[in-house]
Amino acid sequence: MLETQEIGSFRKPEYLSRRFRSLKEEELKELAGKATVEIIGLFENAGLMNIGVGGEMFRWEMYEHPVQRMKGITIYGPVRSFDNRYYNKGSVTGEIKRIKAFHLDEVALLKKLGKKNVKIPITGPYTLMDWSFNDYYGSREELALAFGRIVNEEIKELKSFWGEDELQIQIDEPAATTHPSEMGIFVNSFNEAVKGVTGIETHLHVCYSSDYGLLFNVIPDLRADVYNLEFANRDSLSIDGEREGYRDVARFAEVLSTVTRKISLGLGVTDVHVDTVESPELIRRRVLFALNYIDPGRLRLNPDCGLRTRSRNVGYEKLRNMVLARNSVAEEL
Amino acid sequence: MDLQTLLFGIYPRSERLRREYGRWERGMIGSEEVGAIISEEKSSFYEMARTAMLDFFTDPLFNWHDILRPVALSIEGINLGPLRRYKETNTFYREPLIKVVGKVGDMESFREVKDNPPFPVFHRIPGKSYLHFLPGIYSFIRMSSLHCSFEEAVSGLERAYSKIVDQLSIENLLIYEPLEVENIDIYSGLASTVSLFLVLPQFTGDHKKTNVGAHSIISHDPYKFARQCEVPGVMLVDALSTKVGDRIVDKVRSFTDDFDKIIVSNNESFDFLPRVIADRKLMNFRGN
Repeated sequence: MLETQEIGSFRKPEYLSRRFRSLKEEELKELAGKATVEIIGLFENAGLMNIGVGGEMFRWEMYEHPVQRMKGITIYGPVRSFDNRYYNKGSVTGEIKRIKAFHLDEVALLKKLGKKNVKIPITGPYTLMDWSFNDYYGSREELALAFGRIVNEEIKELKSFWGEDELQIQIDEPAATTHPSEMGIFVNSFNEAVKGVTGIETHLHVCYSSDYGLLFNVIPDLRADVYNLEFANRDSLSIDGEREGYRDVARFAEVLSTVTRKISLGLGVTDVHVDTVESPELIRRRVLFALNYIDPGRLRLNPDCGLRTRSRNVGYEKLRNMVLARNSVAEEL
Repeated sequence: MDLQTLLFGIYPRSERLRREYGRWERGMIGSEEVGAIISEEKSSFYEMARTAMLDFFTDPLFNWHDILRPVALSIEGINLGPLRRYKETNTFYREPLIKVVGKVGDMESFREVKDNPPFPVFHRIPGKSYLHFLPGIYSFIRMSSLHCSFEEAVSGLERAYSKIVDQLSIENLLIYEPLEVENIDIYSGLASTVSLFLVLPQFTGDHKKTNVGAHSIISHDPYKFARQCEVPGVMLVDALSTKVGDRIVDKVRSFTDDFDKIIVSNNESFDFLPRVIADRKLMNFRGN
């Protein structure tokens, strides 16, 4: 009930971030492993019930990391995200194939550490397609499905390595609702990614959508169990606010009542784009608002998105207050 | 048929400029120093445009953080809001918050501004090839959060653009409306004072009733505005693909019998491309 989880990324320690791109494979594995252990300690100290993969210390960025482990994609250089911030956007110039597992090193470390309460974020096929130049496939759908098959291979390999215990996989699709006319492509590529997988709880993470209604409309067709969404960024910081940022929870609840699949909502309760640390009371009010619509057994709590943009201290405080708020609500129930 | 080439919009920054902006943001170099680097980078771009024998090109806008920002920062009553997605891309801009469209500030001199590299807004060079660039008034408004009426915003920006033209003594101006626009009558005043190039990828109005006196109207269909301007233009060079030889010659050839003169342009800012690909497309603009 009201399980607390993080979404993915967390600020890397300087000994890792400063040298990340210049490290050799074995050195990177060692330093990323060291950082992962530290961040897991921090998450556990904050009281998180699910520790994800310990802040994505093995990954520089969510797009570049998987595409560098595929063939058929050329990265010519960075393109602008905003202001003077850039990301490496790949060009699909041939048939895409996975040549190396994306996240096996991370998962191997978690297994070695004996962690069970993990959730592995994987960049989703629709977002990989949307963030690439398509200079090879006949259509955007064809490319999205090709990425879907690759993500499917990755998930199956991770599960096979993990063993019998249930594994949580989170497919990150920030681009899911950016092209309203392509929701069908998003659904088909997502389902391709999870086709035939068993023993896995499948999460979908979407954030900063201008219209969650587009996503809610396709939930009956999506093979996802948990929907981890951003809300806090839309809400006021006033404790007595009307929780306008959480209005879409009611719409989610309507969908929840109509689908036969058992689905849950991961409620974004802290904004990862501001340094203001929301108080436990503010977060508590947000959770109570959501509980007007959703049973506590179907509700999980998380930050809006990965906390990599915040300092380690701010990130920790946000997680800690989320846990305090959760405990306070749990006592009331 | 006389084929003319035109490149508009933000051109991708070089690695050097991105790095220097990073140092400037961290306070490692001053605004004067970064201003000098912007000027040098723009000069290099103009040299490249000349080598590529482009007939027309806009300022490369290396000091524009997005296609609205320097204009928003130059007009009193407009502030910057949160990041918003630009169309359906993975690129974001700061949403202008328009309370009132007030006076136009100094766009011509060196000066520091908040949340953007230093001005001047443009680095003009002599000659007919250079075009000043402004975002379309309707797109500007639709990409903004309005705290005044739509009509007030339109007439305010119309006046502001006229002041900008006066302040900068603009002779050749390109206006880009990236979003849907139904009516372009507001541009007739500007067209009477400058040689106006209008880029309208999504015009939804009645083109037959459109005659603002523009020198060129550039769209996806050059037949649409063939009688509504002196030289119609067609957007053929793809800024959303990294393919360089994308059969533009063949596409242009299909217009040979129907036009005496036509402008071929890009379909979006090259800022959506990695710089190395943008340079290749630029050098191949004529030969494509």
